[in-house]
Amino acid sequence: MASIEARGLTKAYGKHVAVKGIDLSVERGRIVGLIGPNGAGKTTALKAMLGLTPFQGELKVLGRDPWAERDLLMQDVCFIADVAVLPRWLKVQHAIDFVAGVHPKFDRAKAERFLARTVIKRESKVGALSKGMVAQLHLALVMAIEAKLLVLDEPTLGLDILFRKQFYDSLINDYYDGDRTIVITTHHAEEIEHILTDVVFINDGRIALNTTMEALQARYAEVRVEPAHVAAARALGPLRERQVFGRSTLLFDGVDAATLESLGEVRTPGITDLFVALLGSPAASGLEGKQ
Amino acid sequence: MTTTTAQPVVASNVAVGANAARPVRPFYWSVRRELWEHRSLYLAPVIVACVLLLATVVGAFKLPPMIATFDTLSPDKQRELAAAPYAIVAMILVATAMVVALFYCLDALHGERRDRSVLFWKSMPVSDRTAVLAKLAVPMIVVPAILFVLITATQLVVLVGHLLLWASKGLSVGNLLQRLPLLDMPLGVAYMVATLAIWYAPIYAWLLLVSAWAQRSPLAWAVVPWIAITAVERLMLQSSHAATWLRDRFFGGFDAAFSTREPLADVAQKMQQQGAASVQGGSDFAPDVLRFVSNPQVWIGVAIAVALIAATIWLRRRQESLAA
Repeated sequence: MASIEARGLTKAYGKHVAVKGIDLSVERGRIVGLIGPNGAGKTTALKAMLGLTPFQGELKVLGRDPWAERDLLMQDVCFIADVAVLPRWLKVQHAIDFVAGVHPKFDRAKAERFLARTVIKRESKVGALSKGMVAQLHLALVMAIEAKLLVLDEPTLGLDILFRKQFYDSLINDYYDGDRTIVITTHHAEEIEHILTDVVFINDGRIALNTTMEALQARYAEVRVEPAHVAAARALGPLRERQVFGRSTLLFDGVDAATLESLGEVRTPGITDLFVALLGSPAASGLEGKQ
Repeated sequence: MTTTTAQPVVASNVAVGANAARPVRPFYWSVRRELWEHRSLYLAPVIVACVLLLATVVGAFKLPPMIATFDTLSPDKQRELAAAPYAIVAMILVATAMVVALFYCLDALHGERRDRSVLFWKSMPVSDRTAVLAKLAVPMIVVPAILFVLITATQLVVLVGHLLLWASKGLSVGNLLQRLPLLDMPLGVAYMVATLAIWYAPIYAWLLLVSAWAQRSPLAWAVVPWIAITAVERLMLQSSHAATWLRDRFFGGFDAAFSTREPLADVAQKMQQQGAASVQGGSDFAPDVLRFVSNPQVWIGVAIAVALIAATIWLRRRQESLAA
């Protein structure tokens, strides 16, 4: 059974159609990066998958209709919307008590172990913790839940780079067991690409690319072309050309490796570069910017 | 949950399998969570109770002259005089808890959207129905329970104080105890807090609905429509049905549940005109269950509350957090 199965998933807010018919199938054990600019429909699609908003089209998450059965679904699905959603008045101890009290698959001892590695005090209120500590707390709560699907929507928004790295390290080392499914959206795509098994590009409410990382690496290549070969390289029809330290760097789709090796230094393109190559300039797509 | 298994087997299952589902109590913990957030629900009445006790102690030094001659008064007068402080304690604490509960309802579903914590609560396997009913349970069950305990405890302290005072003045303690309905008082308080909760249910439900619906200023959204309705009715129809209905809903709870020699509204008016000391009608109120359950206004109120809560649950499911 697929973790997520969407057919023609559509969501409109009044006249504005945020998600325009998404077909998506995520198998168990995948770590999927949902990449797209602000307003592309990522968060809206995730909200539909989490039962937070009604939608049109077909959508099954772990075999359930999320809108009809959110409370049941949440026994097997965890999500972190972003670091700011734990209420400021909540004491750390109470947060643990609450989750232990309502969640049948929460392992209190596990959460205590994760928290013991941090400097977070049980008697502190969330409002007194730094942003990074709140993220640690939320992650400790979520990782102690025996869930089948974890959805992270900008989980590290506003955290400094050390916390961001630590966050994903814990996720992979302490949580991911090869059987769980994780869906992540983030603006720091380059920081998570090494842990992803799949990448989905969303732009303007539609899926622009849906591929495994292996297929992506086999299909796309970026070449720092030797000055002498620039003309020959351009003749092969690159998706995009940019200048890096005065050298032309060209991104190719489906050109065989041997040909590219002869033109210069070949490497796998970063997700962000690929997104820009496929979906336009960063300014236009807003991948790095605000809405 | 429905299968019954022998206790030791369940215990070993939990110990062995990490996957074994633990028993959970979403409703209970959802109510606990409300009390963690809104500590004023119990702190405010407790503080007021302490102030009342302090005032009683200070007041003991400046007693009405009638007290000195208590034993020589008529039994009716004795009853009135003895019961008055207990009624005042109950009324002031009820009023405090009422105000706190009203503001709680107004914030209950707005606050979680304002600080976006609704996304955390919704990431838990707790249905929107459970979440909203837990919030409704606060003014309907938790606050009345707190009130009952607090009023009874305060009255008990006042009673002990009065017994000491009576003894120190050389008045008959036995006579005082005889004049007080000691067993009926806690029963009356329990009946009062329960019936008031039912009477005010549509108000609480309305505030919860506004709290779930308003994008900002829930207080304005809760009040302004009623001002508009009464004003429009007054100007267009020269009548005041809405205003009357609202007034009865706010101040008629006690009258609906207790048979009194004179309606509470008149007593209150008298208190305003002549000062609280002159009114000693405390012993005139008698709990009247039949009067309460046969009052159609009670059931109309309950029906309105049920409809409003259904709408609130519907909204809680759909409303997203406020910060986009």
